[in-house]
Amino acid sequence: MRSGLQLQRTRRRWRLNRIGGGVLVWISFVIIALYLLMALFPTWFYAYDPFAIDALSPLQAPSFKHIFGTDEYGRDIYSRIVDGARDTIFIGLGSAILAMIIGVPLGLIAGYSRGKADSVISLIVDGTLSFPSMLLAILVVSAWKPSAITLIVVIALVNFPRFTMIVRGNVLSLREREYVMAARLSGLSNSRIMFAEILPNCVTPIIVQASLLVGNAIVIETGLSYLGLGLQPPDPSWGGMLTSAQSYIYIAPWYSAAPGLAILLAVFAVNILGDYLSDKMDVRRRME
Amino acid sequence: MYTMMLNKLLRAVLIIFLISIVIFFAVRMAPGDPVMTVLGAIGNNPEKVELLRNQMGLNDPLFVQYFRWIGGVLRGDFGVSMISGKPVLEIIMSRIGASIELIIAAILIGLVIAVPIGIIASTRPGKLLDKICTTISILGMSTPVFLIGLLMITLFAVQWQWLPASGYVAWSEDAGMHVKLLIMPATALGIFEAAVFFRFVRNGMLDVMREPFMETARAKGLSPFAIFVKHGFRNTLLTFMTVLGLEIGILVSGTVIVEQVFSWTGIGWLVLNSVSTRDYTLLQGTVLFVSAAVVIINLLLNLLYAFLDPRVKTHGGRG
Repeated sequence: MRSGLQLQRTRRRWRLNRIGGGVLVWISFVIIALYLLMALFPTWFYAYDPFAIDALSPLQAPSFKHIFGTDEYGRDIYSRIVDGARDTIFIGLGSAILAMIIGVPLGLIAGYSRGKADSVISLIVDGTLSFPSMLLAILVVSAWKPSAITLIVVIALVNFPRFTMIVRGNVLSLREREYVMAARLSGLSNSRIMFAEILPNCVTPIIVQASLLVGNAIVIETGLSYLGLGLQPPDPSWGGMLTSAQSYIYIAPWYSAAPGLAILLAVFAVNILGDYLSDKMDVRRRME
Repeated sequence: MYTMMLNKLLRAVLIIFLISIVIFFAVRMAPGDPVMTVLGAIGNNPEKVELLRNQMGLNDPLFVQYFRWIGGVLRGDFGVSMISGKPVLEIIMSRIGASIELIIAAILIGLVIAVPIGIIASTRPGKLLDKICTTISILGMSTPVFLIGLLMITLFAVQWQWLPASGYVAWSEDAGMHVKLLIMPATALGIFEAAVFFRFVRNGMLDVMREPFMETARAKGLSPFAIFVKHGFRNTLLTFMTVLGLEIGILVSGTVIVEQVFSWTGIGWLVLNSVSTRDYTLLQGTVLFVSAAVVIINLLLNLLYAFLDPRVKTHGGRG
């Protein structure tokens, strides 16, 4: 399964420097900053009240009054996209952080202690990675009722092995270094060596992985809310808006443009940023 | 070699066992035990509910119920649907063909798109054509599959009306319609996969290109086609199998969503349908069946890989 590890990483490796994406990286920064502002201060961005129903103007095409048009209740689609940003962004960030909290210590333990703990952890990691994550997410969310907490936990559970895998790989090479030997000889406890000596040297790959995971989490969250398993209406969710858009696709084919674009830009920006970070921070690759 | 195979088999069995635990307890430990709730909703007569619970063994401790469930599964009995009363396995079997067909069609479409483009991009790495292909593949990987699907419906069904928007018709009923309905979901999933396949073909080709036999092929004065396709691409095929193994899980996740987008009534549709009818026995059975299938396919690809690549045999396993 070692080859699996490499492949998982290649899947993520986009080699932005080869595409000459300096401009793309800046655009991504701006997009991410805008989304964060929308999530924190939605009122700055509202054109209308996102919940205000206007029975007289449902499903209006994009115009100067409503730049992305109105939905089936006459609500301003743009303002609802703004309001939906909060849930998607926070669930994305929250699940990446939780996945890190679960995955990193497991990777440290597996790589440092090896032996039995390593076999058990590796088994869990392999199992989770080969498992179709959408199925697990659907199963758990349907049983536990969709809420922000459920979504964060489920997405973190299907994603934490990526952290474990990467940290474990790094620890395996770090544990043989002289400074770790020195720490061991000077009588430091194992947990002290793992967290104070080894962990700081794994920070770079962890940050890169975290940024890529936010993109993955957004895909899962919007997918679940498209399937009706996200946060429930009337709270706007990007995926949920796409579901409504699909039912009016013959009357209002432009309806899906705004939520679709919102999702696409978020994932694309986060992925470009993650790739940029991995190129910038990976010393070995910079020397290549 | 045989120890390695046995080891892999053992791991696969353990993984399936762990997955079954997660599937069972994730549902039954949920607040208010959904299985009990659904049962309560079916018969609003408390005595009848109590009778049903006793009949179904729901009053036993959870772990006893788990072993009864998994014991049944091992004997090929996945239980019965809480809603229709039909055996779960029978329902799965009636739907699985549609999903397998969709996945195979998607893989083929993905390969048809990705292989030629990947080979062409790899012949001149870093040049404009390569950069354009690579950027498009990033975009492809960032696009959730339901967005690709919706875009296709908007264009091909609503705007130009070339294809029906969604639905499923059995092959035996109307073969032409069946194919028409298959085109869009398979292509949506295929485009999603093509982005990943492209990466592997391109990077695999770049790796192979460094091998000495490629130098020989060039020195012999072979045509570019013979060099890149016959000598180059054929040698990336082995790695490709491992890729496919890893992609199966992702493909299945994608299928669940694509089937919902296009109302293609396969396994994914079945899963979501059992969610909306709250048919938890059907849901648990289907999820376990599909997960086990994914793990087993992975295992088979792994073993096949070991068989086909002589290096694995001699070095005693590097997979």
